[in-house]
Amino acid sequence: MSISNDRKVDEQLVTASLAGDEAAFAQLVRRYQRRLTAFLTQLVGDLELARELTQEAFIRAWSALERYDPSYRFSTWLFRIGHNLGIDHLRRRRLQTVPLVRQDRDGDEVEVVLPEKGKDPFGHLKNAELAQALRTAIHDLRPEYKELVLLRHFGGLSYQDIADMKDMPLGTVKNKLFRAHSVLRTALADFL
Amino acid sequence: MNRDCKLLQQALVEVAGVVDRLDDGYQEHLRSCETCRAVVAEELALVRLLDEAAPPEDIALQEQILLTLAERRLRRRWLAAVPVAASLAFAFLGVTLLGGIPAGGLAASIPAWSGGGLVALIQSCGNFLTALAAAGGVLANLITMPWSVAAAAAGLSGMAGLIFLSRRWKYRPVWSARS
Ligand SMILES: [Zn+2]
Repeated sequence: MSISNDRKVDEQLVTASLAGDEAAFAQLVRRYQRRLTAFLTQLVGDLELARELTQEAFIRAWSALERYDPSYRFSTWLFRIGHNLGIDHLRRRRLQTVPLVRQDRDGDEVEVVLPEKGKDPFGHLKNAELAQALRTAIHDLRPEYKELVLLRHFGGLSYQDIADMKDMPLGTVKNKLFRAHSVLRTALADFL
Repeated sequence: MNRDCKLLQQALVEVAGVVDRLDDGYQEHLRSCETCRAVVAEELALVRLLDEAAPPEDIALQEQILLTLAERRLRRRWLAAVPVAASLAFAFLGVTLLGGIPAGGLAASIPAWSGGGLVALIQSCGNFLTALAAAGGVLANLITMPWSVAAAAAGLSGMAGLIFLSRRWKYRPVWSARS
């Protein structure tokens, strides 16, 4: 489905939802659940928590649907809600715990994320070595690259959607994703 | 990396490694540049890896979300009915206090509340127009009768509540108006 077609379907579903069509919002949930959970899983590093945040994001979107600004895509708006929930959670967690740190390739200190069993974002991958490599590669990305990679590849957002969501020029999004991919290709060279 | 290679590789990331989606100019560069051809293969593999890394569709979660939404919808309907019911009750109470009940209005029957009082209430419900007419007759005594003042206040606040709610709930087609 093309992006404009996709957008039209979203618009129709939102209009129907606002008119009280329950099935229409259910369809929006089915269209975006996987992508939103995938994005949040990487953002917070915990599959179970990401599922909870996904649910909360959909409920907030439903509750605030009347206030939704249709000049943005529904997906952009939904991901912004999910993103804010994830960031709030990370902030709270940072206040409550003392993070384990290690040094990355540039000698900077980065937080060590130790996923619990059943919560591991890469738990569904059969190749444990690949899972570990991906975990490290994504975790080691600079924060501004990481966020864009998550929105693009896990959230499935277009460059324009990301630019809208992050309030960033399209050229900057392109450039940062290009650099992020160069870093990832190097980090994951053994698996490419 | 020269400028052409950088531009091509940037475009390549944008099209997720799918060369067919590149412009002709880029395709031409690709035919003559071994470095960029190697990047194409790596980019395709990277995108595939990232796709695999996303957890699969979660039907159980979708159902859980829809169930929670159904509960919220129900709760919202109940909550929405409360102010309307309260406004109606206030308006009705005001009118009945003003004389909708035979033999001096409901106020008179309150101290001796019994099965008979309930019958009187039911009768007054069925005779709403009579109650309104009776209310008109009592208006002349409004200033001197505290019960009547209270009744008028209750009736008016109930009516005001209904008007407020009807205005607030007027459908606003936010989406269609903008698009
Ligand atoms: Zn080249």
